[in-house]
Amino acid sequence: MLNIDYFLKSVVRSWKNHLTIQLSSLLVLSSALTIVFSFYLVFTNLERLVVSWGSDLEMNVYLEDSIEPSRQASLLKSLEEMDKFKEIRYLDRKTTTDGFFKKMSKYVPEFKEDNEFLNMVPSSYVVKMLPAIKVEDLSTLATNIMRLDGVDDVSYGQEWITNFSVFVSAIHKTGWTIIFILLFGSLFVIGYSIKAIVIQRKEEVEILELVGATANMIRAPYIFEGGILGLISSLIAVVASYVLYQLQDRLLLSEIGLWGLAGIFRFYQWYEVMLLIVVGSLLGAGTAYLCVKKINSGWAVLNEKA
Amino acid sequence: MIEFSHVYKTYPGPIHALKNINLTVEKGEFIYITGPSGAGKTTLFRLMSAFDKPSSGNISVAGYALDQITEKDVPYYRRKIGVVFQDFRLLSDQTIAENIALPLKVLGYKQPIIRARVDEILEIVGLTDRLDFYPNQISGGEKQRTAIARALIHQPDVLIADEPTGNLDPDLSLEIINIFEQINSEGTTVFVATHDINIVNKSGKKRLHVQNGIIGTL
Repeated sequence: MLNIDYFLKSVVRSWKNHLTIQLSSLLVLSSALTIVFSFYLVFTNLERLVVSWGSDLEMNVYLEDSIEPSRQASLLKSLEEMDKFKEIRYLDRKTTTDGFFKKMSKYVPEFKEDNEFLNMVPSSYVVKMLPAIKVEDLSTLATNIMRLDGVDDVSYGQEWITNFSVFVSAIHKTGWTIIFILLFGSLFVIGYSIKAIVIQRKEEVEILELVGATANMIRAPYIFEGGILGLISSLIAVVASYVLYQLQDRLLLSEIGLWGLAGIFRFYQWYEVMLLIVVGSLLGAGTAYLCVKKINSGWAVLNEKA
Repeated sequence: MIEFSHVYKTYPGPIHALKNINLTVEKGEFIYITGPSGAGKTTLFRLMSAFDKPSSGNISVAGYALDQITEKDVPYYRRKIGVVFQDFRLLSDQTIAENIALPLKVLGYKQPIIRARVDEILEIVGLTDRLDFYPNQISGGEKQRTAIARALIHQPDVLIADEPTGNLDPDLSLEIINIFEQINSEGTTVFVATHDINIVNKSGKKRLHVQNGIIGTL
């Protein structure tokens, strides 16, 4: 059986004899994988951000005016039974109003003595979501809470949450479309490279058939070569993605720090990097296999049309 | 060792390349196949090396029924034979030693054994000092000797050569034939297709003549 030494020598010979094809394939494949890896990094970080924000989300459940204690107790029980909240805090009118004036007193000092205004401020429950609750589920949750007896209104910053969810969802869909297109394109790049090399090495294939090499023996060096191409491209793509990540990290440092995002955005962990490299290698090897599946269908194949 | 029984080969046209070939070559024999261009020598060669199948009839070489052999078994059959072509068919980016060692690498031999066998065969064909040369650095005769060495290194039962001296001058041709005769004297069955009558006459070995797809003894 042809061994690893033969495969390595085969790869070295191939690179020496077809340097232009190999380098151009490497360049295109590395670029494509860099975009794929970077895109994937962007929306895993965005998802991480959404989860993080979601875990700090609060909802204000405003109670009806003059709600009876028994109905209020029943409402509290219903909220607890929903099993969606890690904390439920009651704010009576006075606490709510004091809080309001604490923030706004220098702008509207006259409201402090206005009883009519004081009566307008409802009591409420402030509920904090459990980490498992996603941002995109808030709208449905709010609707369900609105149906409970004793609830007058629910507020959670609807507009920006909805917009942000839509934004993340759009990034997700666009990103996966681009990733799919690029991966598909990568298959063509690898396939073209391997096919060009096979055609150039047709004589070697014929001679190997002549001396009794099986189809798998003939295919193996090309599959190995495809795997190597995928491996090197993935390594370059990981490094390039890291450089891009560092660049955007430095550019946005002040903004990220201000928003408290520094601890949320991160690069791939070591095991994720290994996985990306393995996936890249398998992509290369798999595509090469598809290209050389019928490698010995040339002149030396048995002619079945006897 | 080699047996053809009522073998026909017809190509689309129709072109009757071989007609009712009956042929038996015993183990250790040396046979020349002669005939003009287009007579059917190469077709015979292709059938014997499993590069083609007969339209009808039976072919048996080194224990393999070539009229029924499957594509999966062809590589294992080819390991039992040695094949030499007119145009040498050497790998241009590998050294003489690497070209010769190829069949043993395919068979999975370890490097020390490969090295020893290569040295041995290089001595037989007289190329010991060309070990690390590349095909474009040696002469036509040396290339053919390299091809012969590659065909013999795995000690096949049968050596099949298609016009092995076609690209060589008379002196070199004689050299090549001498190597074949030496191999034959050690027990290998040798089957040489050639249109060079001078070599055949000088050799004195058994000769079969192909004309218009029909074979006969001379």
